[in-house]
Amino acid sequence: MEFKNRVFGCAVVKAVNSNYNADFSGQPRTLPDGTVYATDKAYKYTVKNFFKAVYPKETIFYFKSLNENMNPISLDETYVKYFGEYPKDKKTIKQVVAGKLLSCLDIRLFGATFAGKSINISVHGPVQINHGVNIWHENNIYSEQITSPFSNKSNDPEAERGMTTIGRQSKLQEGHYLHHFSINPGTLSEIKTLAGEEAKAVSSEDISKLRAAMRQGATFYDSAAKAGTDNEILFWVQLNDGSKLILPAFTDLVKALPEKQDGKTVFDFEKVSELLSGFRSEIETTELYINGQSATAINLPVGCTTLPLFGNNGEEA
Amino acid sequence: MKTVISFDLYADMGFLKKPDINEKIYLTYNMLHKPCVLGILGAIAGLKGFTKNNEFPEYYTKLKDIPVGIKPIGKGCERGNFTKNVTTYTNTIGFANTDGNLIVSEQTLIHPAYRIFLSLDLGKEDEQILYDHIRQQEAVFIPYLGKNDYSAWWSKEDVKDENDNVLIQGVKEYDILQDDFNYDYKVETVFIKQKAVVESLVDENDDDDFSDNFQISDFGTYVYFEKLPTKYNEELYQYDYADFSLTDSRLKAGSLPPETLLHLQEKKSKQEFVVQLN
Repeated sequence: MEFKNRVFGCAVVKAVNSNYNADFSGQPRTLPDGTVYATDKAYKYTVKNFFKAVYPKETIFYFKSLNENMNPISLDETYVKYFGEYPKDKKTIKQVVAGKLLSCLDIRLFGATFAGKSINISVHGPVQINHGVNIWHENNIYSEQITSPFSNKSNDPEAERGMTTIGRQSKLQEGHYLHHFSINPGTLSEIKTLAGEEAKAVSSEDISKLRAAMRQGATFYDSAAKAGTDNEILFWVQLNDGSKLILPAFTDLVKALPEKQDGKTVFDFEKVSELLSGFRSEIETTELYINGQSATAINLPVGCTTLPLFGNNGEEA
Repeated sequence: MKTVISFDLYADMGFLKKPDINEKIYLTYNMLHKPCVLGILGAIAGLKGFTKNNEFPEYYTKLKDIPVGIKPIGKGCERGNFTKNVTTYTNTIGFANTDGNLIVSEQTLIHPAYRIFLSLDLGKEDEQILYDHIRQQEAVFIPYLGKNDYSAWWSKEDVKDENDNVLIQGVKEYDILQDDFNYDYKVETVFIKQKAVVESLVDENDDDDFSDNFQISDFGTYVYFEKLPTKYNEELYQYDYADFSLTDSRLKAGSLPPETLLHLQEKKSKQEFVVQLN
């Protein structure tokens, strides 16, 4: 079934003694005032990585894949890998390639800038994720020195090999990154017209998969730097079919209280509730997925359903 | 029927790309400019964007004649300037380049916000749709500030705190008052400065009438300058530019061409001020 509703919401990613998204010095990214933030790419990576592992039948186009020499393959090579050679007919090439692109789950959701050798297509994705800003009251970044087990003088056979290499790693003591997001399935209408009748639109099933990945992707992805980075909240406001309402970003509206309660972080939704109370006739459902072990939410909007963050929740096929 | 409305556009971050640099680092304009506003209006009205080379998009051809005025606002705005941050990304997928990882640095605006004044002709269908959508806080496509990672929004009604201070101003409508601007005035929005200030200082001895430049009668705290796009040059497919200024100083009568200025009065609060729409 085609998914037509507009959605606004936010996802909170918790990082404790972890480095969710580093800059080029290896430290967590910071704004000029010291606030820690993460790019939308960091979050999208966790979502696509989840798709790739959990839904192996879905094609995830914009994801690094390597050739036999362990080098990343190019855009054209990736196209050929999934869909075979480009069509020869110049008249229909755009239509065919557009249709193929729309058959990929990640492109249906996040869009694509496809600049191939023989064709350029741009797809504006329905799902738009904003930069994540730390809403926790502290931004404590610390660095530690680490040693490698290997000599630092291996290039010089004469040298005394008494030392091993020293490196550093930086982590954030505690952070709660809030990514605002929106979904507007209407953005695909133009490319769908181009791709023709059979082209896939965003379906309810796609949205279920997206929601599962947005709930669990960061926890699912464990690397040395990202151990300790977990999903914490997914807040989902689904508007009525046909509603064209625009809502502000929730970044400044959801507050993480500085005092924890029973070791749980408290998220205050008071301002969100205030905002949504003005648009009750436009809203179909409000859902909060929360990791009840580490967080609680207060002042939730009227009619908001609270569900566990992890697990199936009965939504996936 | 012509009507003037304003709405306050907010975003957490923004990126209004300068086309004149395309390597190492991408830079942003500080001030929102008209070609960008037209794109946002196109998203609100649901008009088509760029699809083909050498062809102007639907939104541009339909909306380009709407006079637009811009005033920077909000907590991030300091004397017209917004804080900027450089974000560096890598693209390791390997689609964008063949020789290793692509690294892109991008200057980003922090907490940009702008009050946008529009003079709409409600006799035209597209401008009527725009007028309705803005007043209802609705958009066909979700607007963003330069990049779709930075969604933008406005509020149809004033948002107030518990002490009744306005935190976010809603959509406002204005009456245009008759005025020939033969007195000293302040301009709320960015305005086009016809000639370099230095030139006019030199010219002062030549008994120039300064009709093509502004002169300050009463100094405020700042004067801000930026070269900004005004429209697309339809032959060259690139921006046309003008030198813009913003100041809280009072300007001498005759500083700016009176036909570009509007003396507005807000319909409810009856507050009056002068703007320049271009």
